[in-house]
Amino acid sequence: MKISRGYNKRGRNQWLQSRIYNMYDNKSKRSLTPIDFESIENEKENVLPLRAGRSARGLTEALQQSATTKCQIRANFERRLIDDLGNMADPLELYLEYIDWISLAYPQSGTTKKNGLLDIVERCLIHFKDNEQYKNDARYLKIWLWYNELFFANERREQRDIFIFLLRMSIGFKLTKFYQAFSDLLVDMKRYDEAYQVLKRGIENQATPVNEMLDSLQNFEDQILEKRINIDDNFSIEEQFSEATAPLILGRQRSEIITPDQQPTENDNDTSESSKNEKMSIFMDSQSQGSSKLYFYNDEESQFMDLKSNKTKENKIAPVALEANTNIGILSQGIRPSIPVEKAIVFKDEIGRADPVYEIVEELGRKPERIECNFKLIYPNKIEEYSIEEILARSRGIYHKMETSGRIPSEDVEDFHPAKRIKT
Amino acid sequence: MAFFSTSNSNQGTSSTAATEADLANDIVLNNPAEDSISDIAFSPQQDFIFSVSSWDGKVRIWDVQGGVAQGRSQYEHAGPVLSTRWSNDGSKVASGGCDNIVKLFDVASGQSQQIGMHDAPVKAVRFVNCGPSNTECLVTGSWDKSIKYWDMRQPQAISTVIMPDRVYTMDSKQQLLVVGTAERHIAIINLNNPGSIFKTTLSPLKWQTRVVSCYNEGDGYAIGSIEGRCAIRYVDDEMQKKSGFSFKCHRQNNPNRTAGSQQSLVYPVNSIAFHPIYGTFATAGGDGCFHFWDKNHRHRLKAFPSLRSSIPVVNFNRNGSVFAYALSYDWHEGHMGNRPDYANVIRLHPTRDDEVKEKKKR
Repeated sequence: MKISRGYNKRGRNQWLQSRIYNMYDNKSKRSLTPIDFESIENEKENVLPLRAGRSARGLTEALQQSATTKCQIRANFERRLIDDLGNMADPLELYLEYIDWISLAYPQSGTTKKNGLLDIVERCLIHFKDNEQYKNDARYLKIWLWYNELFFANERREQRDIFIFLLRMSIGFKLTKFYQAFSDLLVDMKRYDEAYQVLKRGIENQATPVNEMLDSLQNFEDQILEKRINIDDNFSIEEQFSEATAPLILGRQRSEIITPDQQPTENDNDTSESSKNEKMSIFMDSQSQGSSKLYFYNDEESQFMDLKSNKTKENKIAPVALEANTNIGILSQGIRPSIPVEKAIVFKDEIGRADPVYEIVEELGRKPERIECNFKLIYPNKIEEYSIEEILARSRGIYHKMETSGRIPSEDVEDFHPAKRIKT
Repeated sequence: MAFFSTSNSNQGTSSTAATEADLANDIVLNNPAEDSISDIAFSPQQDFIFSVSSWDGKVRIWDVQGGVAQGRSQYEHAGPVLSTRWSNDGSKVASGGCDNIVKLFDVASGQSQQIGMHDAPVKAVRFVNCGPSNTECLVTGSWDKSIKYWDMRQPQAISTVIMPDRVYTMDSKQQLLVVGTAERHIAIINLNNPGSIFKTTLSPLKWQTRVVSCYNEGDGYAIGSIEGRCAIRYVDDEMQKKSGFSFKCHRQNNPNRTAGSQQSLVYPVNSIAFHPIYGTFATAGGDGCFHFWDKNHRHRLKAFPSLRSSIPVVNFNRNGSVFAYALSYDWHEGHMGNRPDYANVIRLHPTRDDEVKEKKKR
């Protein structure tokens, strides 16, 4: 019983999902009660599709589970992480179980804050990053790849940085999967030289499965040949990855923009002034050396991986504790002190452009028609009509008023004079 | 027509929708006048000579023999010129305009003379053969609510016929003269009896008459109105019942409307011209499009893309091999629609049979 939605891309994290439904298939054998599709029906738009599909039974259960139960299960996992982790032969297993459960229990989304998935995944990744046992564990690598895909979906630069970090930490350096994923990303970014070197590195390191590794290099070379892209054979990724990752800000090196001594003082003055205006405060790192922690390229810092929340800290508003027993009074709703500002003068056309120069004619049973003629001129009132040429002649003052008729009021004629200035 | 470039690979396309590539071989006269163009008329004796009247108060005679436009001569009115036509022998050009004066220009001598006068601007001039004796004379229609016949020698009109309202448009073929006036009146005159109106009717179209044009056979006329409609009419009542109809043209879907609402932008039909040989006709409008139609089979032969500038007037030359169209502001939106950079252009389009010849029913 699977509800699956179409996916064509290769499933990097298929293993994870297959684990999920296997687990629940076992359960379904246990209980033979029919599945309540009603609850799925109501929620189906909210369920995040997975590559491998979902177990319908698992889904109904997850949807019917109360928040309290979920909290209990979560607390249970957390306790086990503290108590049992040290005693387990395969501690990764516990994390995997936890992650599995989260992605099942919160089908609505993989990335919302509520389910804490990001937190647990990052905890898992950091916990094992120095563990020799898991350096080349396919499951561990796949969490990395999954993390990359799920939380940095549209941030290729970030993804690349994470891959470079993995390369430095030699996580997955014996696994073909790693080189494939990395080179795919680089090809996506059109960094063909790097992709080629990454694949070559994989062959050098005798990544397994060896055949698959050779295949992907072959495929890549075929692709390159087909697209007629020239590859620089002597390209060094070492250089590239250590230099290119040095952050460029608007295409310039950070050091070119900020000199460490001038930055803090200026910053202080600015904040005091800008706070008056209560406008958006611009985040600045307090220390220039502190900010470099974000990146993986320095040797002593290569051991450090920044959490996603830390990477996006600029976008957060720091919470401020409310003092007890204080009354802050009525919150003023968006009333700002009015600052006298000179408004820009809006140009108004004096010629009378505001009048529509078309007429919408509607007839029953027919499409409304918008006639692109100035009906105000053609039919100035109910009993008169003038042709376009007459209007033009009048506007130029050459329409000789017929003595007998006297139908055209003279002030009307003056109204049309501006045209004379436009067209001569 | 060797001087129209024939390198166009699109020759012989059978689609009814033409592209701008189909217009690539047109001869372009940039700035043939200093103001909007009001009328174009070809010489009945020459393929490539035509006169152009303009709001700048001048009538210019152009010659495109050899593919390059050359101004032959020009003469002036005291006000904007609204209409021009050639005499049957191709020796004279008549014109009328906002100075109320009817002028006759002798092409050979280059002299122009005033041959008549109205009480209001002269909107249309036509050469006609009147009466049982088939004498050639000039007929002029004016906003003074009359048409006048001139024998071109005397300053007095031979005959004046009072019209129901101001004359907005007028056309003649063979013994048929049709006058379209304000308030949608249509006056039909049999030129065997030019002094009186044979019949008056109301235009079947709801809004102001913009143009009338007679069939080559002289048995009927087409009316174009400001609201993007054409009526195909016959003088004979029986024939009218059988073959008369009206159709919509010069419309575009309003691009600024949401998808649900179906509102079309409607433009005035400024000019209708009949092909002198095939009897098919062209309409041109304020939307900058011109189309070729076949009234007998009631279908469109060719639709051309918009040229982004309204077309005030179109005409065929004497054998229909050249189709001239003017691009200049037609004032359909009043002076608000005008721009200082509105170009005045005349383009000459070499017609192909698949564009203007009626298609035999399969």
